[in-house]
Amino acid sequence: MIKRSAAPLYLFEYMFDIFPQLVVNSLIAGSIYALLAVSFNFIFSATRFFNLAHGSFAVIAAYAVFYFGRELGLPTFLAVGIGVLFAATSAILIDRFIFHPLKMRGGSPMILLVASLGVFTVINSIISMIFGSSFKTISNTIDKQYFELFGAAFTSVQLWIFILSLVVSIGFFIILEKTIFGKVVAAVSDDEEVSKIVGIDTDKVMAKVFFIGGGIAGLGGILAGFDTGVQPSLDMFFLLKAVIAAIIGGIGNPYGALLGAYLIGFLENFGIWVIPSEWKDTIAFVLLIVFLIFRPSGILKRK
Amino acid sequence: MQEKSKGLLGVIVIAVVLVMGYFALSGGEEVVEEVAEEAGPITIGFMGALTGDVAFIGEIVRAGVEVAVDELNAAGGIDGKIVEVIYEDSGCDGEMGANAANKLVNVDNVLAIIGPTCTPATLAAAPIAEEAGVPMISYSATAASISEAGDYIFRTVPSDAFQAAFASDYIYNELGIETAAILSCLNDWCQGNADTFAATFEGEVLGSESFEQGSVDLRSQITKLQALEPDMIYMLSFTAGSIAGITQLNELGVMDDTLVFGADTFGDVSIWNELGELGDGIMYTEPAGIEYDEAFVEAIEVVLGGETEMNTYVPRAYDAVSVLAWAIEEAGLDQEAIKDQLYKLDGFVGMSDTYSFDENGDTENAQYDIKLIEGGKIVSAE
Repeated sequence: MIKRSAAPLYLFEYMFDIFPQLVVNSLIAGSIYALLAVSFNFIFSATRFFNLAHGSFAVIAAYAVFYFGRELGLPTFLAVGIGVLFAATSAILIDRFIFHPLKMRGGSPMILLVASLGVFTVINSIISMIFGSSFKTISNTIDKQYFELFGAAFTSVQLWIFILSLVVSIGFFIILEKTIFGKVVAAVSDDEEVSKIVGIDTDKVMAKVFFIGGGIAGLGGILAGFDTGVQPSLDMFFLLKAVIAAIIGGIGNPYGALLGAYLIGFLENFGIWVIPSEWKDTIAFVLLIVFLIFRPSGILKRK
Repeated sequence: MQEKSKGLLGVIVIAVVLVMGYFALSGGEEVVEEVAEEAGPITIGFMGALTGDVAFIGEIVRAGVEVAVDELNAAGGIDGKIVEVIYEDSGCDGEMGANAANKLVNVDNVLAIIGPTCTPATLAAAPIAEEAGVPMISYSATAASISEAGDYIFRTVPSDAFQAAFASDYIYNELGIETAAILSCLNDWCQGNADTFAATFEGEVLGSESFEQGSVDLRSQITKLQALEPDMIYMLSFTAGSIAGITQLNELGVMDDTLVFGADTFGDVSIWNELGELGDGIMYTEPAGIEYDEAFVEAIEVVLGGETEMNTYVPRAYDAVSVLAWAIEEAGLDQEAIKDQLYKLDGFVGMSDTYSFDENGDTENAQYDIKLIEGGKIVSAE
């Protein structure tokens, strides 16, 4: 076995070298998880089923940016816009042609879950067929600037990730709280049948929910792609982080999803400060189990 | 409705019984056929990573094997028998390796197997081949643990027992580097190399961090290692982890003053294509003897239908086919005799190397080249 440095050594001796960088690392990871979790939670609240294809929206958007930004050389902001639109549109189409018809035939959440597993597999295969299954970067089309703050290094891309994630999340919360649309979604989430009776066009609302949710998830995938790169197999990674963050934060509560995402980001990165790093990907799952046992409603209760 | 579904159930039961009966009977017939078919083609299996992280190796190796077998058949096959190959995707993990081996051994009844590409797939396939007594020759699975994987398991690529030791010796004695840290993925190949390196490095190993093979966020692992200020980082990762990890090593400023040294997974040109000049200065080891003639490359390009980047394993896979053909020619079609014959391999001159198998089925000739990344391209460090 490899000699491992003991944990206390890291904790105390290198505290000031490591701490600021770990904060930055956590914020980057948390920002990406946040968009995925908030959008997953949004679609789940409205539809009441576990959409396993949620990570696929993120991968679709990232590959759209890879294609339009890197292959065709469009300006970055334009490519990002197209990517978000791609994810949002595919989310709408998947709802319209797969989830919606199933629901009309009385499909239970379980049937929709299985259908979404099929969607997940198909999208993964299609993307692998078009782009291949290897890992590709998309950030080398833009010039990165390097910054340092309190000894923590980060790039302009990572700064953008943090800002965009925060702005989009807050903007989304404002829409939910302050607009009629937000109230309508809340009503549909509460009881779809009753909403229908009082005259809400629930089909239209669902389409909008998928459009917005898919778009936000897409932005999450794009930012992750800019940070590291894209690979078709990242769909499962995106999905798992989104689901765990949403459950820990309190499923059905948009603020909870945001909180859960940053909590996972921080615990993953700070956790391996004290325990061996091979456990990094396990931390989120341990957290999930702890919450499911001791506080199944999550940090924040459903609104 | 009730009656109808009962009727349907009955039909299904009858259908299942019929199908099973058919297979049971046809299975019996196959045995008879096999005896009568002594003069028929020789079927061997191929396993390789045709999808996933190291598909860059698997796809071109598959073409190399195709070329080797075509040449063999053009020259009259083995003892006048044509050789047929069944190609299976064994990915780069244990599950796919076991699935591919099960199919080749139990469904296709192959005489022998060439492959797989990756260590995890090989370790999963080995017990299946061993139990069925099917000789298996890998061309690129390098982990030291494969030496113990079974009597029927051979390889035409040197074991990592040599690779990481060669690297640690070179780093300490040739480069004069005294402190090291290890950053490795969590699979048999990465961990095997990491352990060997830690055990053989004469300087000090300050720390070691690891990550899941599919993980692309290695920042906090790197942050921890960075605090220890090692002179070099021995990095063991596959394509995705390498691209993401090296980008992050750059972003965190580690590569300004620390050497990054890897092993043969860094031979994937797509890593350096993606990274551009971010990878400059990185060094790695690769099994030596990558010699092949232009005609071989051209033949492979015909199979693949386009230009290709050769890698060190393609000629080794070609040689695996030659070695197997030699053993079958000498020993006949009995699998145990083929296995025994393979252990007698001594000084077999292949395309890329001279092979002798030791008692573990490992090739005794373990030479490595040191490569360097310069201007986004792989060059020789010598």
